[in-house]
Amino acid sequence: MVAVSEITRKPTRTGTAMALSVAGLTTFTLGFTTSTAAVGGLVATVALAAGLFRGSRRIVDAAGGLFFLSLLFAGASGAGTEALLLAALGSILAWDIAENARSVGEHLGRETDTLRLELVHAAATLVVLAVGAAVVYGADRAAAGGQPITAVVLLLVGVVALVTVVTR
Amino acid sequence: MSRGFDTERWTGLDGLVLAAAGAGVFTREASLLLAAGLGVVVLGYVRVAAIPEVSLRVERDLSDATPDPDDEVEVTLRVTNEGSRTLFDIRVVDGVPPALGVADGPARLGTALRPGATATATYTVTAVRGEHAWEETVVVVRDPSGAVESRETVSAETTLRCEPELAATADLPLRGLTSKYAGRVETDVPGSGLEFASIREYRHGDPIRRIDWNRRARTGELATVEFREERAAAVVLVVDTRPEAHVAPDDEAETAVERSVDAASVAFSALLDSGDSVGVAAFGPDECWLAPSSGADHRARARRLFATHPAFAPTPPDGAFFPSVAVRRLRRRLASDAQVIFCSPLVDDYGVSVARRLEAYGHAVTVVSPDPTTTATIGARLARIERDLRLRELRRSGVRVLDWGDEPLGVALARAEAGWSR
Amino acid sequence: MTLARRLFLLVGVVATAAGFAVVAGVSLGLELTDIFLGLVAALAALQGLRYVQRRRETPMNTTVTGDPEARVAVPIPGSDFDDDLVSAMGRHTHWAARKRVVDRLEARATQALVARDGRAPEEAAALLDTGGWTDDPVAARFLGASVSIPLRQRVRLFLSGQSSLTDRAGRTVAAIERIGTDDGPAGERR
Repeated sequence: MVAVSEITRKPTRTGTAMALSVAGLTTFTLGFTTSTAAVGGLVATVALAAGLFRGSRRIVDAAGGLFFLSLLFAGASGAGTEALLLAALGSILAWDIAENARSVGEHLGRETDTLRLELVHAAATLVVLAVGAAVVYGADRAAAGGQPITAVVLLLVGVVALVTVVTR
Repeated sequence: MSRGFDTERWTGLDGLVLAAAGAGVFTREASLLLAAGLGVVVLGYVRVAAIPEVSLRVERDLSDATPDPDDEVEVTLRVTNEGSRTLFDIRVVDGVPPALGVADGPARLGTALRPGATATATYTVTAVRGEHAWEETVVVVRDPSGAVESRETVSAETTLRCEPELAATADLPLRGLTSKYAGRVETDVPGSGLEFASIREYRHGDPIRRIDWNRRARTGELATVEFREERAAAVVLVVDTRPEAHVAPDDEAETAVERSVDAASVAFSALLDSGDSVGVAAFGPDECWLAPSSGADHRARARRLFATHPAFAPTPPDGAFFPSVAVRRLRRRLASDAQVIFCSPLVDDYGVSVARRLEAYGHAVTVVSPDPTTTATIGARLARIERDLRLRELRRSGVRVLDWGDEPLGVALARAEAGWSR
Repeated sequence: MTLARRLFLLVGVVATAAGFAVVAGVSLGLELTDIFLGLVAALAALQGLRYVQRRRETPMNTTVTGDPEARVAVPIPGSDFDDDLVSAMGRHTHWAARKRVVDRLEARATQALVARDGRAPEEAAALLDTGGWTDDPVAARFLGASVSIPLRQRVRLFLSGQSSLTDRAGRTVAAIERIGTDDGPAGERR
């Protein structure tokens, strides 16, 4: 019996494994866009692993930022909507699982069995992202052909306004 | 439901969404706009995040509620969701009593609970002497997105009582600790317990009964006999429980107060066995006084006292303490010929002054001092030097000091006994 | 919902609906140039980056859980001296802490000379002044004796990184430990 006089307040092992798997899949998906974006995804995955190893909120956030930049680059280089949407879903999910792993590690420590807890959290986020992606993709499919500039601008303004409303 | 606070976990996502949408328009790429749309959905999910009414019940089972010291006690914690809504994210930290350490398994659990569901966690604590009550269990509740968090507490009354038997050690060499003969007493009635002590020259006014007629018959001189009464000594064991005495050489070792209480309980039992009347006192913020007495009831009372009185708890006290008031109080309570065994680590100068003052008031003082010093750091080595100097100073003033290091108490007593009888 | 929020919601819904309408083929009679579009998009992107910057300044709020698994910690004897050493060595040197350290060591050295070595108090004070109480010049110097340390030894100490306050205090404690034992200073021994 090892005396647990103080818990290890580092990101949980289960959470780290899940987050890195999802990040890997995201990098794989980015591979279907441009090679630069794929490399960006790889760097982001490495950064995520580093952030989880050290338990640093800043590094995990930076990894999320790197994923975002890879998405931007992929989108600007004309990636397919399906690939980009899936990569966006994967990025958000990976960051969310990683940040939760860090938070659970701070509260409960590595020694506690938290598989169920983190699985439920990841599943909830996945459901929301999947539904959102389906809705957005469906809307895109319903609109056919190239869009006139006016539509694009109106949609942009609409998105900006909705974001302002919807933020806490 | 406005329960809980905002964790700010998702701060900045709105910025990313805007940047993505702007980039999408700038580059005329619809895919980026779609990604931004996905971000808006997530923002909406975070916006509606809320924690329902939290109603939890906690139950705790101990494998043994009255263990012996150093026994391992298994604790089973059961958390039940008594509310009507699912709690998606709860993180439970149990309130282990401060004097107990967990030997196996963290006293925590994390899970999601449907209404009516129960989650269980098991861990083991190592028992130490005393009465230990569990504190409140802390539960951190979050909504599934992690945007809202709330800190709740639940309580379940659980107490662990560890009352060790007072060691019946009849062969402990305790003779040196107390002196049997309390002083000269003049009494008229010779009886059992009186012993012939000396003859001195007759002084005008001495009682006629005391004249040694044998001598008068032999030599014609008048002489008076004096008797000395053998009386069972009253011994009071005073334990230093001030915050200064709560020190330990490292995280795993017993504190000096715990060792002092150990020594006091062993001495109590042995002295009681050899016919003395023994009392107990605590010198510290928490008051404790058991007047000297003897008998089986008294022994049981002392056993309970050593085990459960808050003054002898292994956790440092936090209360106001007025040392001079305490010394005066102790002096008032001590019978004029009572002997004192002072159990203190002597890690500060005040402990020394207490021993000397009691000795000055006429009580024979013996100090039993467990050694809590170590050589791990520079300060620790200096503390060891300082304690050694204090022991020397006490010994020079005529107080007997038993320096109790790592060896068992019996060995230390035998060694000291040999030194004192020289 | 506040008025501002309501306004934004209205604009958002109308704009998005109009956008979808144009996408579906309804003509709204609006003409917008490329430059204007680029400007609006760039502004939106920059505003977005500003919002992201906010995250750096916002601390995350969360509950802090304690450590109930550990036994309540009690200090080791002498930890206050170690604390004084640390604060005496700090960047803004605490002269009070340093004085406490030196005073305490001086007092203990005197007591040890009297109690363990059998000296008289005046003799002990004199020994401290001359530095004759120990054969370690660093320790003697630490307690105020004007003993000179040979240059070679000084250089050696400096190079080996043992000249900090903590190290010198440690040598002084070691020297006090040796008072009264067989490897004390050579000279008159009672």
